[in-house]
Amino acid sequence: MATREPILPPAAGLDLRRHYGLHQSPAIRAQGLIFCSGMVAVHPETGEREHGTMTSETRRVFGNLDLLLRAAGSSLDRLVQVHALIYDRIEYDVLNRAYREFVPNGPPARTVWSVKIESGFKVQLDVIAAEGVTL
Amino acid sequence: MPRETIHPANKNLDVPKTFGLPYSVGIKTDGLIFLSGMTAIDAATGERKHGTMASETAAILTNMADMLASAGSSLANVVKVNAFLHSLLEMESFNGAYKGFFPEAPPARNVSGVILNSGMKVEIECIALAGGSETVVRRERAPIEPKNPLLNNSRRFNRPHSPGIRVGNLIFVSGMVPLDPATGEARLGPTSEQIQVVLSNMAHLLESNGSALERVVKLNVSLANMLECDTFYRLMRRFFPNDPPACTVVGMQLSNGHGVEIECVAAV
Repeated sequence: MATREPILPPAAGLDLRRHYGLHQSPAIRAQGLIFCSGMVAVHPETGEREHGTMTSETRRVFGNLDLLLRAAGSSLDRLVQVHALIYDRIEYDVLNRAYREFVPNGPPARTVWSVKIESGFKVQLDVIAAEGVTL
Repeated sequence: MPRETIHPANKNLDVPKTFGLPYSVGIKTDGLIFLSGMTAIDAATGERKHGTMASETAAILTNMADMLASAGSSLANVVKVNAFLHSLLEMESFNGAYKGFFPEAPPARNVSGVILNSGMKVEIECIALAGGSETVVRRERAPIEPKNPLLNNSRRFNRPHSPGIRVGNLIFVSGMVPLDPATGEARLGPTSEQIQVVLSNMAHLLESNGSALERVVKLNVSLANMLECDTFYRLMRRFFPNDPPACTVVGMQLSNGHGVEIECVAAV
């Protein structure tokens, strides 16, 4: 039987279920893939929201995502698909500048969604990654 | 890689059939089930069941449990939920109604606020474990490209995404906007034309990489104007005449005057 393994929060602040009552696991591992919950800019130790610029939030989200994917036995260079949710299309180029720092080679498939994001964040990343490390 | 269409045991949950729409409620492949975005439907009549955020959420998840059971799975096997809300001011009522359906180790989840069809307050889609014995441990990951370099906008415009990523027997395709295959320039004609250009470029990208439109498992469509939903479905029928993929259509702001952006997951 194929398994479904919830991934525990890799740092106390990334337990959004405990801090904000969001009814979700940080990630689930199944069929060689890591399905992550939408990630926002919170402090990884305190869980405090870190509203900022598109750039500062994007960097914080990727920092948190790096922690989560490592805990799940994957890494940023194994990202497969990203839905980059942003609060306004006008920040598309700003998102790209910060975003490319974290996916320098063979970046994941991506769709940018201009949508409403919870709690007034400017960016939220919804990702799927492949389990394992790059050989 | 087999690709199997899911048929709900309760015919009232077969929304595409009831409303004459050219998509499937769900597709099973590679040990995973991809369900189309679901809105509140009365399981006893098949009619839309508009209500509060809480009542619509409960109706959807009850039906989703039924739908997954028809496919040999269950809510406990859901790995990922994407929830689209008409307003994030309703996040609390959504979350409240949602909780009870996933008592243990809830799925990963992404919530966003978009424009929804038919005045519904919430639309929910999921990916679930199929519940069979097939297990995938390691998936090779490789970026894919279209054979026609003019359609490779990631490379041409130095964007930080690949046209798609292959992982094992699945391909995840980036959001595609209408580019003219002869010039690589944006084709900003009527939405109907934009949709055809995107789907035909998607066919090219998939065929360049050992897949095809017939192998698409899930389509995610973003429209700048939800009044164009019918236009999209009319054309989708033409591009996916048999065993169409699962599909979710939502409305949002798009870049550069594009009327449509489409991404997909396909089996190789």
